[in-house]
Amino acid sequence: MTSAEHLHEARLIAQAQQGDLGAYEDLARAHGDRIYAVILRLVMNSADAEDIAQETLLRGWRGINNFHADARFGTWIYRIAVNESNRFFERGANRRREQLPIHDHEARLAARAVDQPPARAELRELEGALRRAIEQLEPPYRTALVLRDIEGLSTREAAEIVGVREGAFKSRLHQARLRVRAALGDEALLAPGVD
Amino acid sequence: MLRFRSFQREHRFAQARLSRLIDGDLSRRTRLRLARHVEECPDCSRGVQVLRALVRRSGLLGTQTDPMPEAVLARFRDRAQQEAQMAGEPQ
Repeated sequence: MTSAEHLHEARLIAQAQQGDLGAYEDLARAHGDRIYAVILRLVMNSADAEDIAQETLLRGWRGINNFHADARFGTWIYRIAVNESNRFFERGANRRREQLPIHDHEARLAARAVDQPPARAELRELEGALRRAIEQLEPPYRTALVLRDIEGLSTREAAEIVGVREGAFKSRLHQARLRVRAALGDEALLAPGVD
Repeated sequence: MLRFRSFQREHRFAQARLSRLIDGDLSRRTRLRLARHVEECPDCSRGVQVLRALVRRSGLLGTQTDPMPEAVLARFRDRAQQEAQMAGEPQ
């Protein structure tokens, strides 16, 4: 983010803290796609992800005055999104996922794969297997892998979002990777054409 | 026997830190210690290769995202406005 973008964001935050819903909506728009992507990867279902994203934005709006200028807005709202997703898991609300073993995003990718040459189709197959392996992880491990490896956040930022110390986060991430490795098998991951 | 035990100790040490190694998240001293072991251990060497491939593949998943549906923002706006009305605050 450039310094001009930082300034613009700081202005929007200040306006939102004065009760300007439009300014908060601008912030939500700027961060919305990434928030939604994280939630979707955690809950693996677009209907649930939409509900949680909406709740995340609402909680952010209600709590905007608790946001301190020395923090990063992106990290703050990510943390709310992860907390809301955890709340969802604690409620055992992921019943929709059980009803839809192949989630909608993967189904769309599979539909696209039909018209692709064999090498691309193999890659799609590996991606599908990777998604399923991530889906099988327990939420704390899935969250670590999604934030660090898929979203590409730094270890420090991801640990802050999850609310654990960096050491604990690294250990969780390593376990998550080992589980996905065990589920996919080394041969699949090292297959030619994967990189 | 001593050499075997030393290898096993280094193996356990390395196995627990392979992720940190590929993330560049180790001190120089520990990184060198692991590098020495990985060089002579096919199991750890493969582990590094596989975890690197896994991280690369996972990263590519991050490039395939759906945008947040506009309806999410619209529903949020409705609820925020309802709450404001209930609290008697004009928006």
